[in-house]
Amino acid sequence: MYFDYFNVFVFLTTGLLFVFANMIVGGLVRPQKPTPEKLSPYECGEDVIGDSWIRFDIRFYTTALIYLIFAVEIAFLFPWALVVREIGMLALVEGFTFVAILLLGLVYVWVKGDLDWVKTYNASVKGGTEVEDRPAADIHGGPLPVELLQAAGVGPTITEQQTKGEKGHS
Amino acid sequence: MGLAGYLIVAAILFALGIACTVARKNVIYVLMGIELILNAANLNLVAFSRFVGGLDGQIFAIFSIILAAAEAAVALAIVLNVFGLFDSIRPDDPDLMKE
Amino acid sequence: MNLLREELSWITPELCLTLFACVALLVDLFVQKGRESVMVGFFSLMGLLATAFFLYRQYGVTPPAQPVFGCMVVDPFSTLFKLFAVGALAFVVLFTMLSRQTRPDGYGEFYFILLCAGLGAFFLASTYNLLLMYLGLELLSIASYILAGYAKGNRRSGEAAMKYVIFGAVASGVMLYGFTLLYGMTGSIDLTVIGPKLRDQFALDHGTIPISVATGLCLAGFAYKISAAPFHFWTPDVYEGAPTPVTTFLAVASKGAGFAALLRFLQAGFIPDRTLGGPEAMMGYSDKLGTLVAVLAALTMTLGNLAALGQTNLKRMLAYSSIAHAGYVLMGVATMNREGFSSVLFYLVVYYFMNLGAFGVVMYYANTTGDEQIDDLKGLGWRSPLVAITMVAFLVALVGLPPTAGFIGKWFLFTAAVKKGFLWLAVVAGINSAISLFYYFRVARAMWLRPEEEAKYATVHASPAFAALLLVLAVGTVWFGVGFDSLLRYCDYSQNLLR
Repeated sequence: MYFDYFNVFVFLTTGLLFVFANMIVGGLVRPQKPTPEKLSPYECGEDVIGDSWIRFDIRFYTTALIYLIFAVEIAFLFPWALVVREIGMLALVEGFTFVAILLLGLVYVWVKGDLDWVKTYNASVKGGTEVEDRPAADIHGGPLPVELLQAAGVGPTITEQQTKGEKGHS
Repeated sequence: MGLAGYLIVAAILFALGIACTVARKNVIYVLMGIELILNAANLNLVAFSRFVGGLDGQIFAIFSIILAAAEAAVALAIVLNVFGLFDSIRPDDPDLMKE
Repeated sequence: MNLLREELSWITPELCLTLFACVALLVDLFVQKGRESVMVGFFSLMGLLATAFFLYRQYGVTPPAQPVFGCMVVDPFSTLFKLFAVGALAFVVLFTMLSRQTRPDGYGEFYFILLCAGLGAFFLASTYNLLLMYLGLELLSIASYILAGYAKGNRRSGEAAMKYVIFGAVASGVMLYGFTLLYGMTGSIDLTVIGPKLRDQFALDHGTIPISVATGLCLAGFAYKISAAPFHFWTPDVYEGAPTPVTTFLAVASKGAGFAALLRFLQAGFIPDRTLGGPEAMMGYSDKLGTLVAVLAALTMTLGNLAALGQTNLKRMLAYSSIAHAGYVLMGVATMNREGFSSVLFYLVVYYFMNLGAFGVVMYYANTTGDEQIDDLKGLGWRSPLVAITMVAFLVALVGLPPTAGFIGKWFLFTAAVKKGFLWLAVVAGINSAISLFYYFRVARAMWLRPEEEAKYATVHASPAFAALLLVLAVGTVWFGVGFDSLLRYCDYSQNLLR
């Protein structure tokens, strides 16, 4: 270790002292006349409405996710932008391919209506679709209704004993 | 600061991350623990890239940051789904499948 | 531009798959409502076919050592695994299409995510570059998390996805940390450079602790992907809860890709070149690593088999059985030599056939009846003999009895292990195979050794296309048990060019 820990110590102490000294001095010197206006949290100048510990609408989540993807994509584009002139055409094509694939995803959610604020929200949230405990036979959840299967000529024919005896499987 | 300092910080982060995931109180904690593990790895990568050599480490770190974001997005969506189905985000609560 | 074309021509299969995945997404958007599922499925199949064609064209061509700017490897080894993945994907797509032709839902993105997962498997199998390996693993994993939870509103599926994502993310994070340590020790993220550098470090004789820590962390990630002990806990729940086509994909393609990456990782980084005679310390370390893997193998197969004994759910039983099989395959990995590795390849091909088949039967059974209990299979043999007969073929292969491919595959694994001196491991594996007979036999007994009158479900027709698929897999399972020469040669050849 080529390093003198004392330097860090001095730096740290000075920093801490600076912060606390200012706070203490400020606290002693300033006049204290609190009003409800002053005590409320700062929300870009708007009046505060309600508590901030509420449950947010689930629909913000989709927006946040899409924002996340495009925000993080920048991490690739900055290094790319630095060298794109040097490498030339090749880099340009690659960069646009990258953005095009991302845009494809955006177009997909857009066309599917997931960006609409008033889409009837019937996704996985309880109360939307029916919640089931059955084994997930397929990507759609439980098995198909028997009538449909039989219409397609693939389903089980229910035996007589099952219809009168057992009450089917669960 | 020397390489060892960075490595120690990264190792502590890694250990904290593992501890956080093992505690299993709340799925969100677990996800935060996973972020800690990934960031420990990122710190390692950048430190090694500076002290051992090559830009490979930095490139690796950029990719790993982005993968972490993608993974977090998917994981959160899945947790949201589970919350809707089970009304709980304790990782041990959903246990429909036991022998 | 010419350089680009030259370099990219080596990853035509990957590019083709990417293109078709994107187009599948577009097709899903712009096709008239109600027809998407079929159309997109059809398109994905076309894409897989085209990819398989490009893969076939790559077979036997000798490319430069590391095309695509030194990131990828194109060799028979990777081609074999990619063909694997394409086959498994095609099977899953086909089955999803066949099973749901009656319901006009738009589920196009399912195929898109599936193809992306396949792409991840492609990259995982064909690179020595740690960054690309990690990217491939994550692409495969993240897509798998989504797929596992795909059945919206189904609580089992949701639970499976959550358990998978928690376990998977931790494991891949741990592996990433291991990768960074390897990078720190060698200053490179290319395994072909890391190998010789590690050799130098061994020659310096600084002790093996740092390298052991790094290797251990990396192995944790691989062990999770192939569901080996002690990182197998997620497997039963995820396999049972995930929709069955997805389970099939996870059990076959995902696991295969995990093994491919593991083999490459070990071969490039940790197997000393015997002809050159690496430093003594490295020889010792490689053997020690082999012993560690051998212990893990014994643990994995025993845990898997013992847990499988008590299962009543067919899918869960197959999940434990797939853990046990990971143990058998690790036996070949533990030898840390060419013979063992080529027996691993052989067994994976065999495993592919028999597991696709077995899960195919489960898919069909669960999808038509909504039932996954082993006992409820009773009488199925008399009611729908074709499905039951193919199932018996798969079960016999899974136990490892002649004349099926399962027997030959296990035979090679056992001989490789014994030759290396792991006699105890072979004995453990033998006992385990005997144990496995019990639970596989329970399924066969339920199907055939019960009178027809007890049958819970009357004739469960298979659609002709699906029956044909099962038949092809069953014939493959038996065929490789008899005419295995060509396959063995291919596996050996793949190993030859691995380095």
